[in-house]
Amino acid sequence: MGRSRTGRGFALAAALALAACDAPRRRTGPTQGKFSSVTYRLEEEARNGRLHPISPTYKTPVDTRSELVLTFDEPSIEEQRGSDRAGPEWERLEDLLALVEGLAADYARLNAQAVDVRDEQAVEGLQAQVRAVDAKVQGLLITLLDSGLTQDQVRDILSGRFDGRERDMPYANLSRWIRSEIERLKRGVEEHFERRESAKVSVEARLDPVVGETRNIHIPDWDKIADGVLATQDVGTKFLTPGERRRLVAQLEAARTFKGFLEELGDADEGIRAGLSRLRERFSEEVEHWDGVLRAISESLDRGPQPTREILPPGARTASMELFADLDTYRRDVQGLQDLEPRLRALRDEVLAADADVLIDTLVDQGGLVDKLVGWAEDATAAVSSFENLGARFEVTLERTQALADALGAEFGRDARVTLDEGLDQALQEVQARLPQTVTVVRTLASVFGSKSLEVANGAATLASADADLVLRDLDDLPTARVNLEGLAEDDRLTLRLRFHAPDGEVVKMEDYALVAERMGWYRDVAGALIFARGDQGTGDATDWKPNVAAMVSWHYQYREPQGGWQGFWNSWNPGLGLHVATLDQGDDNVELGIGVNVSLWDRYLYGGVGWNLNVDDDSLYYFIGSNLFEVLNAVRSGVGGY
Amino acid sequence: MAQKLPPLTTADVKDSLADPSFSVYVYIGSEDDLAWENAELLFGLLPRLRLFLAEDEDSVAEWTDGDASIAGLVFGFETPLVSTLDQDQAEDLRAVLDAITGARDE
Repeated sequence: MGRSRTGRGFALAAALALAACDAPRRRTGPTQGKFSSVTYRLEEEARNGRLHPISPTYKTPVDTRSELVLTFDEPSIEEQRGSDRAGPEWERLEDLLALVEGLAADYARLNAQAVDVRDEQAVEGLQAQVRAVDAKVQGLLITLLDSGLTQDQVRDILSGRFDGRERDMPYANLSRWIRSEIERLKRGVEEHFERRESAKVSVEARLDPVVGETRNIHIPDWDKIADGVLATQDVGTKFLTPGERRRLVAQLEAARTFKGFLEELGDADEGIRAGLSRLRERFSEEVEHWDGVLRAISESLDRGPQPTREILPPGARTASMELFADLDTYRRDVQGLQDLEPRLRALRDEVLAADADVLIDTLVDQGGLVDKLVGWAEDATAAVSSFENLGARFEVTLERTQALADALGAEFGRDARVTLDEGLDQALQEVQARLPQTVTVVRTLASVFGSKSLEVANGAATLASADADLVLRDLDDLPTARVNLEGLAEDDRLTLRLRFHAPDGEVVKMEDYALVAERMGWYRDVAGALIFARGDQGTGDATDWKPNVAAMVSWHYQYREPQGGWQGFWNSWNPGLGLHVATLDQGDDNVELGIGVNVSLWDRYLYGGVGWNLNVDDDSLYYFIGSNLFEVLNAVRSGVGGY
Repeated sequence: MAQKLPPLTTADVKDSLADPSFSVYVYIGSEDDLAWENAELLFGLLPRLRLFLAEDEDSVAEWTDGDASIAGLVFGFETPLVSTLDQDQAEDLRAVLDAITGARDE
């Protein structure tokens, strides 16, 4: 017969069956997330008010002229009462219980009712009442069976087998089962409320800008961070947003530094690729230089003056001990530089081992090399800082050493001049002479390769304390989180992090939305670039290609959602047309300015244009090609380091 | 209260049928049958129902005419036999309920 005589597992089956008949659930699509009964979604609200859903995927592009909106759906009535399904299920069970209890009363009353069978009217009245009860019983059975319970399960309930308390009272058994189901829901609701009351939500936005420190930015209602550059502001009235301004300054600085480096090498007419190749060679030269100089200093310190206590008079002995202490200090400082040397040599080997002709290709092929270079540059900058003081301190030491020598000479009546090792003196002079060049190279490396990564370390401390600024909110109090993106510059990276915290503070769920700022539709770009310009006509070196710096403004159009190959092709080429102002070196003036028109391609990787030199009367026409080093290197960093 | 034939007889069934304030359902089989449990459960749900278990088929031959496939006899109020159920139908709780309530609507 296949009957189930036990109630084991029945309650679960019944619950599942009843749950299956719930009201339609809320849609949880790809742009929505869910935690307990909280549903949320992140959207990008464009200027025209259109909403674009954002999924927690890798590097989603967002328009810098839009706003991020993280919305939490209001809890429904059912949710306020309990979980999604507790409300209607509970209500249905309570309705069912009332029906059963009413039927039980009718059943008892009608069975007990005495009637004179000869009284047709009385009999018909009774029959009518019975039929009314019959209809309700039919409805009751249909409800149970239609809820997904099998006939065996219904028999288990009506007979009392479901809880092992079998009694020949179907209504009583059914009533008991319904009450047990309500109790189960009640426990679930209580647990649900406990979870809701104890769980917390936090939202934070971490900005990793192309220029500037990585930091958390303010989201109203969700943190205690002070308003910063991303606070809501009327950026439309300003020519440059703060992000654009920072980016432009960094671009011009990178172009200027590289131009200065090329000029220092005396190969000012070289192109960018050749210039980068020369930078690699110069890098190698620096390694060799440091190796020799630091070895000489170390050896000289080891060979330093060795006056002994036995032969020195008391005054001279004290002076000699101080000298020893100074020498120890020098050794420690020099050690800081010496420790850098093996790393630098290893990096040099990596760079030279690459077959690529230019360093930029090597960076892409040798993942992580950029980061190591930047790390070394950071350490070298700190070490050089202490080394800069070394020269002045050496001067003092030399004076004290001479004073000691004079004292020894007077004491022993002979010429007892003590000098520092000759090799040390030469090394010191070499360091002092070479220091500016070394600093230039270090700064060039830092500016060209590491302008961003160096700042990451600074931003780490900010991030470390960011949690303390978060506001943990109850699930019943989740305001919409809004992040205005208008302060962002192109390629700035933003991570919106949504976290759900258990009562003990443990993060039980985390959702990261990784976003990268882009510009879409019509937009204006302001950039600084290294250009190579030459006069169209002229005498002397006016027609030589020379590195210069230009500030450019150009207009572009990007399809937000490219349809078809043409729009995708257009987006990838990203052509732009605009104006520029450039510094030039074609005449006799110290400062020459030119203005003109320009075109750009590939996200401003390549520029070309013509203009007029304002400082010369004749042959003022010039033309140029150039590249935005900042964009190129940023692309390299993105390719190497990922996001 | 469910009653068995025997010890009750056909006359006892007829007495119940004569009472217009009750309807009657007779199951032909044994008390261990699933169909009999259906009958008992419905007896506990539907008021004014008299229930008989006919373990002896001959005792209800007057209504079955010797048809061994008949497992249930459904009577309404003051009416002759309204419907019969085969074994499968008698084991279907919903079918038995519909048969009894339908007969009482006659």
